[in-house]
Amino acid sequence: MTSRSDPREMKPPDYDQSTLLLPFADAPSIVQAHQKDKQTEAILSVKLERFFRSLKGQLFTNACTEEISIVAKLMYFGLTTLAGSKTLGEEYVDLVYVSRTGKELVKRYKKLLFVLSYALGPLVVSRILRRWGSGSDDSDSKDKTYSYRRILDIFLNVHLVLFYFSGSYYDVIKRILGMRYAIGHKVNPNEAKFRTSNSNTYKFLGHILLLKVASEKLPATLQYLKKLLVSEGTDSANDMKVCGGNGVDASHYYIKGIPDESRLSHIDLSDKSQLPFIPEVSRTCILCLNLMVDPSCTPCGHLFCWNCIVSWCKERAECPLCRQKSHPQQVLSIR
Amino acid sequence: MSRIVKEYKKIKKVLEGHGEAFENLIVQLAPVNEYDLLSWKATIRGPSDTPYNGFSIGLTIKIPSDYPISPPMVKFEPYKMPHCNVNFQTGEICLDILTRQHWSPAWDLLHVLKAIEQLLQEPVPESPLNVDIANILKEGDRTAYTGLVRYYFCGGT
Repeated sequence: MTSRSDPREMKPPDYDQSTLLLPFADAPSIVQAHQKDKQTEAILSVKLERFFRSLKGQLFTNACTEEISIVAKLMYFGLTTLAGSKTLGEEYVDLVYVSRTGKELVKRYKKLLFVLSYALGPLVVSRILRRWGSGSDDSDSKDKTYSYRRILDIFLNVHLVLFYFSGSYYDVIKRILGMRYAIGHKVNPNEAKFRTSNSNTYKFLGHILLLKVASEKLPATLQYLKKLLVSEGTDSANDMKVCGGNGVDASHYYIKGIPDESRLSHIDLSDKSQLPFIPEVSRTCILCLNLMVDPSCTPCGHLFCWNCIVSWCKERAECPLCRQKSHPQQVLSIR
Repeated sequence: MSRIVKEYKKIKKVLEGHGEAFENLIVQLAPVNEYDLLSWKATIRGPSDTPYNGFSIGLTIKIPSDYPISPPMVKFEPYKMPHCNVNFQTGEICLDILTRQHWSPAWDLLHVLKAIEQLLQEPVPESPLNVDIANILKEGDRTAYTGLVRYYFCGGT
């Protein structure tokens, strides 16, 4: 981090001679650098948290973990990338930032943009998504947020696949800003061979990831788009159906009141095959003195019929046997 | 409602000799009428070591329609009961487990009678319904207590 490497020295002064340009970095070394940076960042974050804890107390650090990690990121990349030196990870595998074409160095303002968006980006995105989610509480907008998140998810996955294939940009932000990595030294043929074979492994990974993303997202997305088109074609009358969408019909996830008595299936302990782990002596409900129907359990563990114990707990919220607190909503039916 | 039917069967079984625990206590515990299990009559023996020893004491029990969610209503009837926690005029019993706040549906009529036996053995003069007897007990005048109880049982009002 401290050794200030000036890439200009390594860069050939004559841009026309393409053979003298630094070669673009390969995917494995980028990943390695990234991992190393993450690790350092985490260490820094922990140290910073400890610092704030001794300064402002546990409560503060607990409430501001997100902010502290942002400060850690800003510090780390501000002192390295922004100041013009390499991060520990970049130094580890010897990488230098170059422009999209690889012929220029990356400008300072781009680095600043990168540091800011890298540190604040995730927070901003999640805040925006949350605001869209809570902005209006009708299910339609919630569904939209969900789909935005899905789109974002798909986008990130596609980005990762691209990285595995081309090995160019590991961060989305770097792709947008055009900050590529180049190897900071001359590569001899032996090393080049080693690096290509490593990159090929990553391409293989890319194939697998592509297959996974496609199989996961494609059917659901297609169905979603189809439904979206259908709803636009018809009227907003069947809006409800659309927001139930996302591939599956969610209508049966909603509880629509108490089901009809005839549709309930009761567990009757007079049938010995039901819940055979309950011993003979414990199968009688102390409240109705019958063999239990729908045995249910209070927080203290005593068993009663569902109807018996719930009607009692409505009267007084305690276990009839041990008087421990037991609200009706705490009674659990045993299945 | 099937609960009281079950209880009736159980009580019958207990009183027929399977439950020794109640032999010294219960003379009779049965519904007034076989077809109406909401109204019961009980006779208990006065516990030994108390002034009630040797006397039979009558009780009436009314089962509320939401029994066992609500406690049974028990009174000393038809005879007057001289006891510091019993209203001499109405026969009402001051016993916490018979109140809505303390009743538990896990208890049955046998438990209730057992609790009443205990009340006879250990009167609580601190929360009296019969102030005269409570005062005697507070004074610790055992002889007066025994004499008064006997007076009522053997020909008082």
